[in-house]
Amino acid sequence: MKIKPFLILIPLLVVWGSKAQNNKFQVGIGYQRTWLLDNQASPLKYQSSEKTFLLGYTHTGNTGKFDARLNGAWGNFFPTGFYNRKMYDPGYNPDGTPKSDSGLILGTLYNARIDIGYAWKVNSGYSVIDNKKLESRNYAGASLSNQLFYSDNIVRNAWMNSSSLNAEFQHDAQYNARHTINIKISIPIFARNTRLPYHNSVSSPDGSSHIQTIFKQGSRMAWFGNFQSIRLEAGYDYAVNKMFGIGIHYFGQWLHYNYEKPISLFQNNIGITASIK
Amino acid sequence: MKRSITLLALLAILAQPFFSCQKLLIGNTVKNTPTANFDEMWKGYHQWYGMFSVRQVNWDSLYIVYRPMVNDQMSNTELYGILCRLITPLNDIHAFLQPTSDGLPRFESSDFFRINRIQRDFSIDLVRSKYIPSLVTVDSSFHYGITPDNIGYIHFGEFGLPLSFYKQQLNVIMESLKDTKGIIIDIRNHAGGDDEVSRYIAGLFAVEEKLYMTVRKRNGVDPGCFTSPESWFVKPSGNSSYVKPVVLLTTRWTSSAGETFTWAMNTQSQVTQMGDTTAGGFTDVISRELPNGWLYFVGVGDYRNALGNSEEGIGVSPKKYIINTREDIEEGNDKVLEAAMASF
Repeated sequence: MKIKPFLILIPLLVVWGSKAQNNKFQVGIGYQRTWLLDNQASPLKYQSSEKTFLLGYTHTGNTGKFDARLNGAWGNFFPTGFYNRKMYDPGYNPDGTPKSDSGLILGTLYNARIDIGYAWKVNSGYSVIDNKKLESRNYAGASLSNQLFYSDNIVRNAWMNSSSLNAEFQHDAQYNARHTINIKISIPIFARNTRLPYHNSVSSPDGSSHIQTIFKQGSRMAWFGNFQSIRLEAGYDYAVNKMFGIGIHYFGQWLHYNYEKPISLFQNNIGITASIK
Repeated sequence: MKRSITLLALLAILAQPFFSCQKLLIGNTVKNTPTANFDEMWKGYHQWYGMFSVRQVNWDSLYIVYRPMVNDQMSNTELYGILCRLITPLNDIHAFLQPTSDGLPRFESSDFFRINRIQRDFSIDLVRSKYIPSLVTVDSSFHYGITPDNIGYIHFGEFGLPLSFYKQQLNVIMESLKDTKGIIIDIRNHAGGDDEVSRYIAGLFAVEEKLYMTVRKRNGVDPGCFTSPESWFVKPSGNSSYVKPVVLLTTRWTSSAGETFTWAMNTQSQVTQMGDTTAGGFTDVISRELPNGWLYFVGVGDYRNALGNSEEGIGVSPKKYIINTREDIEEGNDKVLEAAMASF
């Protein structure tokens, strides 16, 4: 019997069966900017302009909330100030003269993140404003996440996979049962990070694929002392009716990791969402 | 509803600082000045180049010589001149500078590539027109056929496509060549590629596992810091091994993965390397950038043959030496191919 799917299934079954349940499915699209400095590959700061999508599921119960989310993004990726860099043809004409054609050096950044977490309600509050109810709840919990960054740039920057166990703190405020604001902070405690080895190349003597080789040669355990990935999420949802809602959400991330050479990343994402309960 | 709008506005205001503080959170980048560009390129080779020792280059002394020539008032063209002079002593097919501005051309540190520019001693079009009219083009750098004398012929110009592509194609090709009396493998214009492709293809001609190279790569900022050596073995691959005579054709333009392929093939007793010595550049290469956006390329490995000797800057010598002149090809005579065909 495979252990991992079973472990994911247990919390799903628990939260699905609990009373006073509130299940929400969410889809979203957005726009993201990423800035990155990967000293292992380049001294240049890179930036991107990405389209993003989101698929999410949240179950809110009396004692806590379960959250599962898949985010994906892709977009142009280039050194700041060098958007239109040219690669001149290094070849020669048959008469020995250098060729004069050129092409733009283009690149794309891809990133994806999956998060699964559970947070327990630690306290809640209640007040009445203008005869309408304002409820607030605070949660503390943990999540497992995996995020992958990959670029097809010639210098192979931004290649990184991070699987982490994160501490999470959330605050939800709901006004008049229609307006909901939520804020979440997530900080990894431990992680298994994978980057290219120091020499920034991939080859294996034993016939392993490139992906297997990168994970074999480039993976290390990390902790908060050498790996920081602070994520902030803030969102507003408006319940159009009991079943359907719309919202606007912000996601920001700062990441820094020391191996093999330091990589720093800063991301901002704004998106609109639609949810079904 | 007013509260909703207020809350949204507050969210937007709170988010603003996050969009503008990327400079603080990302850290400092190197300034784009001629001196910083020189220092970055010197440091890049210092921290990643794998062959100072085997090529007997004192990289520190080159900094002492050339750094004083750089100043922040110089033009890109002047900086380009100094950077070219810096890497010239490496004389390495994998060490070159690729400017991305000012129309400046690629500078090859390899004396051979810089002086010769274009290969004149091989033409696949001549092979097709005079020797193998039935030559099949699998890809612009991959051809095969059978001569009128029932000698198989496979040409590889690179190993840059995915391994799965070569596996799929060669399953069919080797089946079609199984009844030939021998095969000529022509890598005279091989530009390199993936060493794992080299190993797989060499395995099509192997009957037993044999060591053909050891590899170590840079693993730290100190020029003496390398990974532990990895041993690479060629072993039988594909559906069956081709054990009839094989002639491997090489020239000075056979480089990189073409040379590791030559090492692997030379472990097999039925293979005879014919032609000219190869280029002498075996390692994996990475590209790095300068603050001005230019690219430069660095060989990160120290590759050794089965005996533990480096052939960087030397190349793999053939068992039978024969070359074409430019005039031979222009007059329609591929004497190297003719000699290979006559050897069966």
